[in-house]
Amino acid sequence: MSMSLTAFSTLVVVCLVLTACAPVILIGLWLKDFISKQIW
Amino acid sequence: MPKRYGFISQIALLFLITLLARPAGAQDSKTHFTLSAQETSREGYFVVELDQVPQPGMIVQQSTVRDFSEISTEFAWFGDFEKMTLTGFSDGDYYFRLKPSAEISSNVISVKVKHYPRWQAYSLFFTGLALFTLLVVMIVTLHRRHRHDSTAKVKHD
Amino acid sequence: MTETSGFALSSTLGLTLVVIFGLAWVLFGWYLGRANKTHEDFALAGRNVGFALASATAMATWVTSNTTLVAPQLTYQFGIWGMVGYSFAALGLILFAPLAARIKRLMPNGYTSGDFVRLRYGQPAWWAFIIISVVYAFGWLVSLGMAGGILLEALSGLDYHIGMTSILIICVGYTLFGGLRAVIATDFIQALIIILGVALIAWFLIDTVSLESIHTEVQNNHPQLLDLLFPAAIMFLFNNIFFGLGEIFHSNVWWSRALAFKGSVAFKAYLLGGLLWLPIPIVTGFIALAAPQLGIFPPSADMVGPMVAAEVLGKAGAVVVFIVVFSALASSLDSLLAATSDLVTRDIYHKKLKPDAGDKHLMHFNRYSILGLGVLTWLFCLPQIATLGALLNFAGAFVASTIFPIVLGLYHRGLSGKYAAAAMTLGTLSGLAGYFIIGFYVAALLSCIVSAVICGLGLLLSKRQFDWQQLDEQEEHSA
Repeated sequence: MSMSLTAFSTLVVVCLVLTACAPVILIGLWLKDFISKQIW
Repeated sequence: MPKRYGFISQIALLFLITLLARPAGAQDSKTHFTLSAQETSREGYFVVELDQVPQPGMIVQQSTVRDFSEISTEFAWFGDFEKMTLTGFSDGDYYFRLKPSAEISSNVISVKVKHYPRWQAYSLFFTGLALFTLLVVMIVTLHRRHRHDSTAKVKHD
Repeated sequence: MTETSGFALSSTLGLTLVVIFGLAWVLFGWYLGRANKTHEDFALAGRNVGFALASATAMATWVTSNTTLVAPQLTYQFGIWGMVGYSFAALGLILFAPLAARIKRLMPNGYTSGDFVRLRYGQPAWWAFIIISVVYAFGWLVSLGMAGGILLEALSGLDYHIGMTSILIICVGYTLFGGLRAVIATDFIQALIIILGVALIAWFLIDTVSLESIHTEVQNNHPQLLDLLFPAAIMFLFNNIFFGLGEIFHSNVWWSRALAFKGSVAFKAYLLGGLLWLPIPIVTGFIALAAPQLGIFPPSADMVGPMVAAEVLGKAGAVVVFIVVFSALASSLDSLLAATSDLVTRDIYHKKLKPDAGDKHLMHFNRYSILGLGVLTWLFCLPQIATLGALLNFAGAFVASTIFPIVLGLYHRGLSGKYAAAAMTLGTLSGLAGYFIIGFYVAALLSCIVSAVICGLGLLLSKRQFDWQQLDEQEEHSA
């Protein structure tokens, strides 16, 4: 059972997008903690 | 994660050699190369090795027949490494040699690819799956059941 | 330093990068360390780490240099299942989330995973556990130190000993000044660097060589890599998962974080950390599938990732790879230094040798043990024995035996110390036997199965019920 091009591209692109979102999420959370003085 | 032991060599080889691959010196007369590789592979990948530093522009030929009457694919020998890892082979017999030319000759090697039998793969897979499911179900149920336990007599912070 | 021609970076540039990163991190560690007043502050960052830093540190510590290097290797060897299977290691973080919340509740005053095993299971199990922990932690520490030296040498021609020494000095330096606070804060920045770096490389690759052409080439000439029923890959899958679970469930690296996070944060942070980690091995792994098309057939499979990166990005790629791997290395090295020195300070020094030690005294000793561990690691790294790294090859047998004893110990009153000790010891031994008799792909699996069976027997046969209150050990410090 071979993986099709569509499945392969979708897997890679979705993962790349998710990975690229990670810094945004982390920085967003940090700002939220920073504003509410919850960093430590 | 597993295979941590391997990464010492990874990094080393990477920059030391790859980025800096230098062409081997040109030879005047015809050179005979001896190729070698493991006879069988259970995973569909294997290493093909040369007995000496490769020459620039060497071509590897791959065939499913010993006399190379039909050539499946050709590719350039990569860099000035004496080894190359080939991957992604299905079950079958594969033959390799260097493309004969005025300067180069080589022996023919054969590699038999025979993947692990399906029953073995599936039995390990399903054993693992069963144990994993047990673990997950256990963690989830136990966690729900004990969600409100606490030992703290005095709140810490 | 002399300029060495032919290396990807000049040794001056390599050293400059190291010095800049090093100074920045040590200063940052010193700045954060000023807030540390007690041993608790130093070892557990005041037990008050917020959600953002907590998630980032969980993710970054689990991104070892392997995620950036071994994920492509497994993809090159096992295709789609190689990278998807590697990304399943995120399950370790995700499944640890409920355990972390439980740990925080059961042991509001605890310090280490060793504390838990000692209080929950008693001495014999503690010994088995501490041996497993030390073998694992030390093996990992040494392999990271060596990797640091080799990376610098390979990249810039800087002598192995100078590179290895400077990376150790940097990590020991900021951990020494800042304690867990510095480790967690640098992890946050390192996490951002790692993610951006790998995303950049992947994006350039897709831009240069399209996904379509990668797929076509692999399908035509390397069909096995796209096979979703690849036997070897299917076979190794759960062994690797149990290896990862064992690493996380037993190691004080993860326990000390659970204890350091703010009350309700532990669960969320591990869950988010795991989810953020999940796609990374696929992003770093898939680039290996582009290798055949670029004409790259590496001399050994573990080199494929950086080779493709360097091919696609040229010298800039080498710098990006260097920074990403260096960050991944540091984010794991500092965590291990901190967590292992906590284990030495708390479990061995305080509980075994000097029970009446005061808070200041412990904080000093903790610093000395970071330094001591650093020196010991340095000594082991000096001869550059690659075979030491091979020790970790069968670490799976050790760590997987702790999974069930830890989980049941946290949730079930019934499992007694006798059975837990037997489960860890016999599990490890059968895992090792499996490793040598059958093959590496059964070590962790077998170890976990045997340990689970013994734990099951323990639950059936033992009559005593553990009192959870015993886990909440109150400290009587004279500061």
